[in-house]
Amino acid sequence: MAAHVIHVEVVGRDGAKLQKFYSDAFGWSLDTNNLDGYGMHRDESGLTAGIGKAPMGGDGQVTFYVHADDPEGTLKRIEKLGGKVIMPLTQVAPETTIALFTDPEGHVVGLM
Amino acid sequence: MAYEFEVSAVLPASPQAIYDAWMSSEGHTAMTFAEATVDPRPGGAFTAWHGYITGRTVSLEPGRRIVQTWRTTEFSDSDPDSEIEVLLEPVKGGTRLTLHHRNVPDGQVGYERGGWQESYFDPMRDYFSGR
Repeated sequence: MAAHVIHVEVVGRDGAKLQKFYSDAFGWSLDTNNLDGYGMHRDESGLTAGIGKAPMGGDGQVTFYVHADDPEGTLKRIEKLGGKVIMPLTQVAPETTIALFTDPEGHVVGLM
Repeated sequence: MAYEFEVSAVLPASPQAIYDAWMSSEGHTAMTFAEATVDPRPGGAFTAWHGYITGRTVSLEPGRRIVQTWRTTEFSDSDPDSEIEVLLEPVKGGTRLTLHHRNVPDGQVGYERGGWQESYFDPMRDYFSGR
């Protein structure tokens, strides 16, 4: 299966405020029973959106996560193509491992 | 222009206990309540906060001082690593942890304005007090 977008994310300084904003704007129901109150919304297609607080008081980011069957191989290919891994593959939940990379223009994108 | 700042907190544990937790994968994960991996040797790599923070250990004085390079996923590719120096001093009630954070990219002020408190000192206080 080709790599496909599986998750979108907005994290920032005030996670609760962002969650209310997106819930009110789009009518999303967010499950916040996650680490640090990270709010998850799953749409009918299975795509998930995560809204929450950035660690360390950071400004956070808007990004999307691509699912790849071979994440290690995909990261190697990304680096050959001029991307840069800025967060190595890291297990963030029992069945969820993610990495972050920047594309050649510095945009932050996730791999899941 | 990069900038530097200092933050500190008194934590309810001995300097050695805090040092040991900071410099181990299990301890760092437990005290921040967020996944961390730590190679405890000088020059060793570490990650913290689910990979949001990455760096390498520069120098160590067991139980007293830790110096590490430090960057987050919010640093741009052109930003050099910042550096943290963690100083541990025994005081009444536990340990005063003083953290010097140097060469922080200009504009990334969240670390100084509550970031270290929220993501480290508050959870560490809970962890070491057994809450």
